[in-house]
Amino acid sequence: MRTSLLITIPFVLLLNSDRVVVSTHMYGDLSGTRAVQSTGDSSLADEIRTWTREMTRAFDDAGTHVTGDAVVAVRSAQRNDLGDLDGAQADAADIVQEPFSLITTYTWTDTITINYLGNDKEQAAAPLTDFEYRLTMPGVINSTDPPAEVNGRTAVWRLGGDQEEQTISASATTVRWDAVIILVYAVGYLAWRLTAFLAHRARLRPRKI
Amino acid sequence: MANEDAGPEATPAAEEKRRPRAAGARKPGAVARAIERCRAWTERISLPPADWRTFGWGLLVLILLAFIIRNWAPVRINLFGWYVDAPRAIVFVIIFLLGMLTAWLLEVRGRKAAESEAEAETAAAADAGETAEEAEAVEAEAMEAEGVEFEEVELAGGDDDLAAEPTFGDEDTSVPRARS
Repeated sequence: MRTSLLITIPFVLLLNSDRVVVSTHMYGDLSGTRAVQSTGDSSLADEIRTWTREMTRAFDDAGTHVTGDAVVAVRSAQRNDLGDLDGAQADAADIVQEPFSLITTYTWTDTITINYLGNDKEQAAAPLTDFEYRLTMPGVINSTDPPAEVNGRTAVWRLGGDQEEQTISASATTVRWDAVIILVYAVGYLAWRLTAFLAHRARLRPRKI
Repeated sequence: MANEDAGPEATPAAEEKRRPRAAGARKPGAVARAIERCRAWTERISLPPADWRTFGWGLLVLILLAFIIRNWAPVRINLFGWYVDAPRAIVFVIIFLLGMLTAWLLEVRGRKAAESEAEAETAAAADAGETAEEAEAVEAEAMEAEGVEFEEVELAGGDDDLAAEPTFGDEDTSVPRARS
């Protein structure tokens, strides 16, 4: 059965929760984990858990935590190729695609859909909702669209609930340290051998008296 | 007459002070001891020869490290609704170790089975040997009762064991001979 990690957020969840955070962690082999965390009032614990489950049917339950008057429902999923997800696209220009470059470039595009089922009065409150999209990439993030708060490898978008469909994209680069170290090791050893050979040859050469 | 070379402080105490002495051995401090210990420890380290073999091993280690780092992304292992996210490289190592354990257990089991089989064969052979001896004894008694006698004939090769072995019958009359 093909499972979908397409994020379709029920508007009722956005409206009744204090905060919804969608976190995507992308790794160098384009695998990754995606987690959804909904925080709301503990009186709505069951509803928030249900809405979060409806939103993330193919996810695993990562627990519900009640602290004081707040409830936090978390669900997560792990996929070996984030590019296979519906609505998402993950690419990497790694050593296979660009063998003569020492830098790997990653790109990520995702589409977030909000499922509006509320009435006009509820929809009027859409801009007030707090919806956060966090993305962690395997390299330093260079560019984001729309603009986001970037902190090294992590970008955070604070999206309102007033748009039915939102597409975000980001690109990141990282140095191929493993290839660099192996290259330096091999070249350094060859240089050392060549130097030792030349020095040995120079010692064996007869000197003029 | 005063000694002019002695100078103005030619008192016995000053003379004692000026007298050259051998410097006493000072006990080394904590830092000096630590440095000495580090030096002794590093002197014990013998670096491998910088040949192609060492280079190859180093390259292999680097490639392995790169493999581990490149496969550090987590993989989810599900079990009855519970799950754990573990780095793929660690999962590889665990599966490799489990494979080694399985192979070792199978080998131990096979060795035990082979040993028990060998013991069973030995016991069967021992039983068979006793039975054969009993049969030979019965046959010899029957022959004695019939009056068959054996004559020991020395072999040309001088093999004492073969010469001592009693053989009878008309098939090969050149070596053993039986007379009734």
